[in-house]
Amino acid sequence: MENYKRKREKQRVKIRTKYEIIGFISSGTYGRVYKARPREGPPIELAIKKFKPEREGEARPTTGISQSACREIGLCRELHHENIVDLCEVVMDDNAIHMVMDYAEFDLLSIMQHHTHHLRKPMSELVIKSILWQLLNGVAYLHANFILQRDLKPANILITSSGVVKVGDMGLARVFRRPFQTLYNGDKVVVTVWYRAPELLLGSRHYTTAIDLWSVGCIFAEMLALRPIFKGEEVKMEKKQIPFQRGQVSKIIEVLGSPTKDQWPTMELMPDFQQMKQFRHY
Amino acid sequence: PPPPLTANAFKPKILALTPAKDEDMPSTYADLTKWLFSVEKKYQLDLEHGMSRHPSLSSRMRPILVDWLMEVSTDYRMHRQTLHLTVQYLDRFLASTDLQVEPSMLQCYGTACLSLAMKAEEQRVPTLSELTDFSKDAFTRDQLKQAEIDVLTALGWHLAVPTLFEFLCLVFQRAAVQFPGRFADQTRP
Repeated sequence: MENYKRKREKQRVKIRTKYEIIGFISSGTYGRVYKARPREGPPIELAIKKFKPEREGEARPTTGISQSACREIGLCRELHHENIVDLCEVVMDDNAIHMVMDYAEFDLLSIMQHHTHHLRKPMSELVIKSILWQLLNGVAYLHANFILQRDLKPANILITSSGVVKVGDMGLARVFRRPFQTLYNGDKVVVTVWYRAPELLLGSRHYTTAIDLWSVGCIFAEMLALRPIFKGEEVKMEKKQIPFQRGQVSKIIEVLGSPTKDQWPTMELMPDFQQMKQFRHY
Repeated sequence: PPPPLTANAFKPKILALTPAKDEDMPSTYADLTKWLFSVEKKYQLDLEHGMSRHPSLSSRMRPILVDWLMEVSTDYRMHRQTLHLTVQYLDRFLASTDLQVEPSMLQCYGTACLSLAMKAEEQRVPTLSELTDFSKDAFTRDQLKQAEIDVLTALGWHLAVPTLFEFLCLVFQRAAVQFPGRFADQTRP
């Protein structure tokens, strides 16, 4: 046993000896993202996502490796595509998991903000076309591998300095290859509210790749107009009850008109259909 | 009087699945099957080889461990896929780890595989102490935590790999489409 331990200790890579942290990118509930450079090999830039280390002696009992890290890494491990952020390596060091990933200079949100606040002119058609094409290319790849991204929004669409689009943040992504399993069971609320598809807003238990394409559509409109097309107000969750997103649904209806049964034959079967019926008819 | 029952009288009609036609199958079916096979192939392994890499394990130990895992997953009403994933992780771990697994630690590694499979499949994630309870504290929480890391390292974090269960789901889905009276009503939500 002692021998293994020593052997294991030797194999363990220290993140700092392999990579030099050169900046801080963002932080969230999952942990932090840093910009880094490998100490050896070609001088490339990488992003390192460090999941929050679990602390001993916390009130909540510990569960070993965190579930979200497990799911995200498990999915990313099988994905390799030009338009998807690539996971290069997973390093476990000082009680934390580090995902070493592609680094991208920009994200779509900051590019759109730059156009609104600094350039004060719309994005060029060619740029929009290129971004949309690459985004669809990446999403098509995910769908071909039976993965729903479930959180497409401008902030998660990364763009490198040479203009390559990389779909990032697979934290909410999920495989959908088992036909009888409803996806609703896993995570009750998916997709940032402005980019959430109508069937999700109406509480559908089953959904398909269409939800990602709805988000892509919203992003397309946002690139053209430089503001979100359906900027609804989010209803906060109370007492662990999932609220009906009244503001978001009415926003969509204001822009697109009330849906008809011809357009959406199964509309009346949606759990929250009654709620929507109360809206003014457009 | 009715004729006496003989072995010949018992002729169960076995439903034969014909190749799916495009019109009665969602188009993803063919793609999905192809995709599952292609991914499965990458992770195929030789069971015998996996066990023989650990000289102190005897071939009887794997069935005993799997049996125990089945019991635990039934008692705690886990999803079937969780069990299939667990056993798959375990076999792949044994076949690829650099460590030599001692009999005393086998159950710990089995539990680590179970823990990882639960994280992938179940809604509620068990705590480390719940997991050590499964085995009546045959190992410590720290050992389990380390075992989890060892398993992940050996699997190279390839966790989303198809199992037998997923193939079965597809077969049943097809059966439901082809023989609606027999399956469809029970499968409709």
